[in-house]
Order: sequence, then structure tokens, then C-alpha cells
Amino acid sequence: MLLSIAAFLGSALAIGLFYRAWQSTQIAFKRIAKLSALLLMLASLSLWVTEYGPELGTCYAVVAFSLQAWSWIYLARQRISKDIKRVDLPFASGLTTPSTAIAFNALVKLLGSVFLSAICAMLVTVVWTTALSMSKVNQIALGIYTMPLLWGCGAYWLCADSKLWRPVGVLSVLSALSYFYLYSI
Amino acid sequence: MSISISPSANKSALKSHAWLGLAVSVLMYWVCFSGTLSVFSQELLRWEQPHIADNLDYTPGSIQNAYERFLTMKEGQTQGNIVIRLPTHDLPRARISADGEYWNISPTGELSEPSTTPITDLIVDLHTALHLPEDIGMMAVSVLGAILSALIISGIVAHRRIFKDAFRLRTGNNEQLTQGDLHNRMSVWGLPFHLMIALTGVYFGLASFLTSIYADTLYEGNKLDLFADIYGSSIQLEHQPAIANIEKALTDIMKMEPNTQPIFVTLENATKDNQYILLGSQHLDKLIYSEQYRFDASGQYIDKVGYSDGDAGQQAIFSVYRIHFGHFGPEAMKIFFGLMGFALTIISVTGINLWLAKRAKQDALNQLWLGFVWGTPIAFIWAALLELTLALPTKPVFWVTLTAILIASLMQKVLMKTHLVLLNCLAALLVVLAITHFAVHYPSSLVMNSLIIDSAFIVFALCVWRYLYSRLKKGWNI
Repeated sequence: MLLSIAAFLGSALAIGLFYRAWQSTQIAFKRIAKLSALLLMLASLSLWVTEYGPELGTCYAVVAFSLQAWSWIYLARQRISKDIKRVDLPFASGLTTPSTAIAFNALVKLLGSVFLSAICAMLVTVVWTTALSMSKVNQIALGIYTMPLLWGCGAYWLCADSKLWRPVGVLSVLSALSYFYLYSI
Repeated sequence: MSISISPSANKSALKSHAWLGLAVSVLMYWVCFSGTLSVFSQELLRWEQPHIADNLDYTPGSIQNAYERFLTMKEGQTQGNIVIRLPTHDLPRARISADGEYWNISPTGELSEPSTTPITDLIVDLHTALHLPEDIGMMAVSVLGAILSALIISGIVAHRRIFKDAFRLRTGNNEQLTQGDLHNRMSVWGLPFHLMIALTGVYFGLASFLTSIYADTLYEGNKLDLFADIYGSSIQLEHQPAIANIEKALTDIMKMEPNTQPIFVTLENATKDNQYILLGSQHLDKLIYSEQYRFDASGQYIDKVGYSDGDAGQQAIFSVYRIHFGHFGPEAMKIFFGLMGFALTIISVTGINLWLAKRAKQDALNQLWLGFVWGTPIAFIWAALLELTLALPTKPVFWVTLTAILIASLMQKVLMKTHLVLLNCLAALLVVLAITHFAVHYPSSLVMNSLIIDSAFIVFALCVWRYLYSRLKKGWNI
């Protein structure tokens, strides 16, 4: 119990130090405060882990840190009392229908983000995880936890690139190469 | 050395973030909101049937009695497995089920009454499968998990002032500024949690596709071998007694693993010649859902599957459920998880609000979005009320109510008026729900769990009214 309290206070102090560093204009102080905050965070994590083991301890550390940070932000909120007149935006009846080209582009993006990125992420994940020297079960678990990240990267790129053919092309080629690598040997 | 992202990368990331967010807007909101409520699913189950006494004093003998009574009721035959959910601190009641039939078990081993929890099912099913057929729905929700990870990645790249604004929350009359700050601060400081929700969320509906490719690559297409490696191989038994000795298995596990919490008993191949007992017991210092201990039908211990001391990967896979729903540690952890889930809901709402505000006009999209955001909780509560008073089915009522709210929102051109009316409705219905539940179930509703939940509804109503009052103070006069 004492370790939990110490860990909780440690991470609260770390956030306080981050806040002071954020407020300060002195570069030297900022650096020292940030470094100390990081060290405190690590110390807090290790206390949580000592008390509850690596699995539960890490979860508690993450949850405590986020909630403390939000509380700190709320308490340190900046009230702007300037009287801003509320502007009511004009109301337009009905909905603007997008052009065929825009609708097609949106459809490709949607299908690409859901299907192409998924297929590519799954195939590439199996390629890179099976190349690692670890047990099969660990390879699969690593794949299960990292595949959504690759998928997310693919979807992000598809929607960010101004030239849609680029991500579509690269993801398709990567999928094809991974497929042939996995199924031809 | 400083790390910076080019303005063009920022711009395109913002475009991607907005596009993806819009594409999944309503679905993401539904999944986040119902997911927040689902964290408390076990408390809601108890709230729905408060007359069933909470009790941890079930003996292995009473569980055996309940199983035998259930078997007699089913005339000795079931199509699927028989599952017994054992009492735990967060759900101190036992339940037996097979072939879609659920019965509560009394501490003396009688089948007290069917377990029906339509309100909890309404919420949990929206979260797990969007009320679609289970397979398709779970896949759709898992796709949202992947899109959430894309939103997280694009959000980080798009956030040019991630460090400069790390602690900035500006409140006051400028609604857009406040919403932007809320969206960014909650996203950044809750990043590990959001990412964990996204990664584990993908597992439930889409892991099977990935494991198929792994089976092709590592197991020459033999999925059963892969499942045996991860989930343990099945055991082959013959000539098992017709009535399994669950009592002995439960008594033995308490002696063998005194520091674990037995949570379920599954009778695999129930009522068949090769039936056997699978007993799940939770290791309280681990995140795995449970270790599974196998006994033959006469209650003789065979082996354990080995999740608790198996490969790190095996443990990681079996930790997905508890990490995703926050079902670990003390009860307070659920409240913390609920708060973090609520933050994710706020992020999904404020994101769309910001996009709508930047359009310099208002149209049907604004009306619909308002209808979805406030209409969803209203429809939940309305469905719960009609179930409590008239026993109407919750899912059809939910969808009809939500559709009616959307139509009404579309018909009202003054958005502020719609907003205020919906807020008032929500607050009033929360109070009515608490009072109705208390009255319908009185005196059973005097138990702690029900009192806390009913009080929470009143507190939420006060929060909504407080929010409404703050809007009125900002000049939201109709």
C-alpha cells in the first residue's frame, strides 16, 4: 500500500514538474525539470511494478498518469473571460451533393482504408514477425498487437496523400510481394 | 536537437485525420459511448435483477446441485457445452447456461429464475457488434479499432504544437477554442490508453484472418495445430459418466490453486460420452482472463492448459479481454477505465464538432450530428424505461426512438433549440429512470449496487443540467 501511495505521488510530482517546465521560459530550468520528471515517472513505474508485478503495475501506472495529467490540466485551466459574441452560422437547407469525381475518390479511400490497408498490414505483419527468431506463439502474439498499427499507418497514408494512386500502388505492391513471399516458399 | 514535422506533413495529416474521423464519426461515437458503459456491465446486470441476492457463499455442492437440476430440466440432453459462471466479487451470483438458455443459481443450488438482462444486452451488443449479426458486427467494430489507430497516428503528426500546448485548456465564451483544447489534451495525455483500446479492439473480430495466414505460413495450413499451440490441444476421453462430478473438481482446484479465483466451469461436449470439465480460475496477479484446468467427468484432474506460465505471447493473447475492458484490480479500476472511455467519447464528439464549426455554415449534418450525440443516450434510457415498465424489447425501441429523434432534429432549424431540448430531455429521463427503477424493484432496489447506480443517474442528470445552465449563461437563449 505504501509503495502504491509513493508511486501515485511520484507520478503526480512528475506531472507537476512537467507543468513547471512547460510554464518556464528558462531553458536550463526546463531541461532539468523535464529530466527530473522523466526520472520520477520511471521511478513511479518501477514502484507500481514492484507492488503489483509487471502486468498490473504497468496498467496502473498508465491509468494513474493519464488521469493525473487531465486533473492537472483541468485545475490549471485558463479562463478567458473576454466577451466573445456568439455568432450563429448561416443555415443552409438540404445537403450539398459531392461531384462524381469526389464521391469516387472518397469511395476508393474508404475501400483502401478498410480492405487494402488491412490485407497489406496482415501480410506484411506475418512476413516480418515470422522472420524473427522467437517461438511461433510469440510471433503470432507480436503480430496480433502490431498489425493494427501497420493498418493504421496504411489508412493514414491513403487519406493524407494528395496523389491517391501512390499509396494505393505501394500498398498493392507490398501486399502482392508479401503474398508471393509467404505462399511461394 | 529538435524533432519537428514539416508544415506540409502537418497539413496532410490533418486532412487525413479529418477524413478518417468523419468516415467513422457516428460508429466510433456509438462504440466509444457504449464501451464506456460496458465497463460496468457486471454492475448493470445486478442492477437489472436486484431481487437476486448477491452472495459469495456458494459451495461446490450447491453448484453440483444446480448442474444436476439443470440437466434434469433439459432431460439429460444439450446441443452445446454447459457453462457455469461462478460468483466473484464484481458479480457475486452464479449462473448456468446452455443452448442459449440462462438460469440464475441460488446459493442453495436451486435454479431460481431465468437470467434476462435486456438493458445490459442492449448496451453491450451495441459495443461488440453494433446490433448487427454477431460475425459481421464484430468485424465492423474491429475495423473501427484499426481506424482508431490510424486516427491516433494522424492525430500525432497533425498536432504541430503538441509540446507547446501540452497543458493548455482555455475555457470561456469561445466554445471552439475550448473544444479544440479538450480534444487535443485528452487525446495526447490519454494516448497509451487509447492506443491500447485500439490494438486490443481489433483482436476480437479480426484476429481469425491474421491467424489463418499464420496457419498457412507456420503450420502448413493446419489451423488446429495453431490453435493447439495458442489455446492448448483438446483432449480425447471416452466412456465418461453421464453426470459430471463438478463438485470434486471445484473442491480440488481450491486445494491445488488456493490463490486463484475460480470464475467458470465449462462442461465440454456436455452430455456426450466424451464430456470433460474445463475449469477457469483467475490468477489475480496476471492479466490473463484465466488459467484453464481440465478434469475428466468424474472430477479427476488431468492437466492445465498453461496460459499462466506459458510463452509471453500466449499470455499476451489471453490478456486482451481484461486489458480492453479494465476488468482487473480493484473495483476502482473500473471507474478509472470508465472515465478514460468517457474521455475517448468526448474526443470523438469534439473532433466532429470542430470540423462542423470550421465549415462556416450549418446544414442538415449539424442537425443529424446533434441528434446522434444526444439522441443515443436518450434512446438508451427510453428503451430501458419501457423495458422496466412494459417489458418492451429494448433493441427495437432504441432504434425507433433514435430514428424519431433524428427526424425531429432535422425538422428543427434552430440548432440551439434542438440542443437545449435534447439536454433537458436527457436530464429529465435520467431522473425518471432512477426513480422508476427504484419504484419497480422496491424493496429489492435497496441493495447497495442499485442505490449507487440510481444515484449515479441523478448525479449525471445534475451534470447535464449544469452543462445546460453554463450554455444558457453563455447566451444560448432561444
